[in-house]
Amino acid sequence: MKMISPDPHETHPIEVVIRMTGSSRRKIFFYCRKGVVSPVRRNDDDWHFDEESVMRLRHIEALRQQHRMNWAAIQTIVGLLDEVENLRAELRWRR
Amino acid sequence: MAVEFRDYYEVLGIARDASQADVKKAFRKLARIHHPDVSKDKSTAEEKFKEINEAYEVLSDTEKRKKYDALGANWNGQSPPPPGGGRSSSGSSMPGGEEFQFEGTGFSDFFEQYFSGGGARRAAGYGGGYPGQGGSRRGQDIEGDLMVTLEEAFHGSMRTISLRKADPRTGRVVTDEVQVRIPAGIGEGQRLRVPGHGGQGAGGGANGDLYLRVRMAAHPDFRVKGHDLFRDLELAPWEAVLGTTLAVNIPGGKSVQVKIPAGTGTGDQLRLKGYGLPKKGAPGDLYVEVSIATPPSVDAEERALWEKLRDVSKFKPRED
Repeated sequence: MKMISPDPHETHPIEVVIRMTGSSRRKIFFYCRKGVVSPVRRNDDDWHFDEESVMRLRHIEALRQQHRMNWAAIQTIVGLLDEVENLRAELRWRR
Repeated sequence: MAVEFRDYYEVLGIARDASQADVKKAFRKLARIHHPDVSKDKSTAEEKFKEINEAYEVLSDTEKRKKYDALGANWNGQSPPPPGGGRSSSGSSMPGGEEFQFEGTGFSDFFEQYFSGGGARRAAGYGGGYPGQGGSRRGQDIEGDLMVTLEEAFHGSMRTISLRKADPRTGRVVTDEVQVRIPAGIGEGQRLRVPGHGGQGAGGGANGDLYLRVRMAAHPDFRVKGHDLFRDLELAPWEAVLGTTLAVNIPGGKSVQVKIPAGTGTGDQLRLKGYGLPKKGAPGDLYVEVSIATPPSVDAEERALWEKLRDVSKFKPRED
């Protein structure tokens, strides 16, 4: 059986993120400007992103390409999902 | 891929109209008995501990409990009733029509299907699915919850995760098994990405990834926030006023001596540096949250002493 040791702290350079997410450099810069994702390291063109950003970019691309959503809709959904996640965490903490 | 109904009330040994306080009390009592740290039979204890945790996960959350009660009332003993949100009745499904079920996550199929944290987002799959080169399409990503005990978060562990996928076009069920190492220091909400073990790609496209989202199992004594741990500590009024030194339990069945300073009040936190979860650099801390307990009854001698204290004390708690 295959054994995998995932590293939740792994980071990826932007070229790899483009391949992993189906997004483009221009779009990733746009999402960064909008504060939806942010690089964990940023030296000129050498931007690195964590696993959380990769997952979020994949999600955004799925909303955009499969569900034909525009930026306003994507922004709303991503914001709501963040809020749900935060409230869920708060609820679990209080139980 | 039908799922079996779980009687969470039976698991916790409580009545269906039990209050939220009773749910918590029953959980704490059972979790202390079956906690892998204290139980003699470690192999069954872990399974039982996770079962109790799953029941608590649902019944301690009023919304989930309401949903569970409605499901139970309509369960016909053969197959699940049509759930809300348009989810598949025979397993979670993705937009591509691929159905799947998890094993080895610490949660039952029943929980996975109806109560897994991400709700529709998880069931729908997300990410991936975008076109690749030459008309190929990458498979969907799949997300599942992974129950991790505090002990696993401390020391790390290895889990065998199996994902049964059924293709609705062929009806063929494929089981994909993979061993996943859970790293020490993992925390609530973090995701472990297992590349290539998500939905199947089309036209030569790569498979999607499997994301396992960490859900820390509730512990009868400790709560987790990030890498820090929190535990409650009740003090007698005289211990709080005069100060004392107490043995406080820490994870792993050990204890440390903690000096309680004189004048400690309810809500005060005592930080035990480095006794939290492991972390790169420095580990998290353990916070002891103090509350003052009062004796439920006093005898004549004690009463006389409290009355004497009342008469001589200059303490005025309601004045600035």
